[in-house]
Amino acid sequence: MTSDLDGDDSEYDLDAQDKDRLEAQLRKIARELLKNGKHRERRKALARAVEISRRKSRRAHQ
Amino acid sequence: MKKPDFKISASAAMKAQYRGLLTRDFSDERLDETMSLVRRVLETSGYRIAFDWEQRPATRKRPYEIPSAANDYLKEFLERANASLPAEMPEEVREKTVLERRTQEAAVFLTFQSRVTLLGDSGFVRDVQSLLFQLCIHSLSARLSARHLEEANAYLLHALYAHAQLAWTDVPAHQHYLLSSLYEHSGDRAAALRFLEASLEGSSPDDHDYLTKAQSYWSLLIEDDKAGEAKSFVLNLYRRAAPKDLAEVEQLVSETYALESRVKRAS
Repeated sequence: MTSDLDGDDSEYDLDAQDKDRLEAQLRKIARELLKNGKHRERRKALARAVEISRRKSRRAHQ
Repeated sequence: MKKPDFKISASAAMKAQYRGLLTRDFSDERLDETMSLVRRVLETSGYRIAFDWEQRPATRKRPYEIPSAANDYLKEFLERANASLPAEMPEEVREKTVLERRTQEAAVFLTFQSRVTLLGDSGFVRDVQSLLFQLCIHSLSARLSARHLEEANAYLLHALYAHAQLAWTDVPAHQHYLLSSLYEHSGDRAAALRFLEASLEGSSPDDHDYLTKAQSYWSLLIEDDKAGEAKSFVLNLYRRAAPKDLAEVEQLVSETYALESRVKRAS
């Protein structure tokens, strides 16, 4: 669930369900990579998950 | 000096392309697509970008044509001229040049906010830049390092730092996250941990990316053999995590104990 403190996410963001599904998959992959000592790939998987799930920006005031 | 205003207008197709890029893996191809998207947004909004190498003709000369009707003197002259043309550029040198050009392009796109004050769909631009930031770390910088292009790599890392400082001052949680990624990539793991901790402090446990950032912090501790700190971190995380994340945090707790007992057995 996304915090609603600052209003809705921007129009080009993924929907909450897609975010939850994709980020959970990537976190699971990252845990496996960590166990196998593949640290660079682990970092990549988690960075992808953050890009997917973070709240996107909105339009600037004009 | 006040920067000129520049209004960004991103089409629905550009936004759909961004959504598509988000869900795909980080690769060299994705880097190219993301760079093209940034450029397209800026150019269709009216900012023409022309890099030096795009304005110059190809430097490699073609051999002179030798007319069949030419006399012996002219034929010999042209044959000698063709023989003295520089050889084809080696693949390795050509590849280096391409990577250096990509680095300069990326640096311009990442630090665009130093030239203008963005209006309109400015948030969209910086969201695409954020994706480009991660692709530069995981694709471009890795290729520059592999090719021992240290100068270009240092230039890229400075541009990444400048991007975090220029574009995200109003979202410190993401600014700190970007800086933690940069420092982790550069090998300064202590700084990476500090910025990740600051990013978590500025985030709500209800945010989608909270648990992922927490797992990044935990991973750094585990990789650095700090099982005690990792255990304390995940137990604290369990107390403040959102209810939907508790099952996954429990997994992190069990994995921490499992890793710790494995280390104890080995020592």
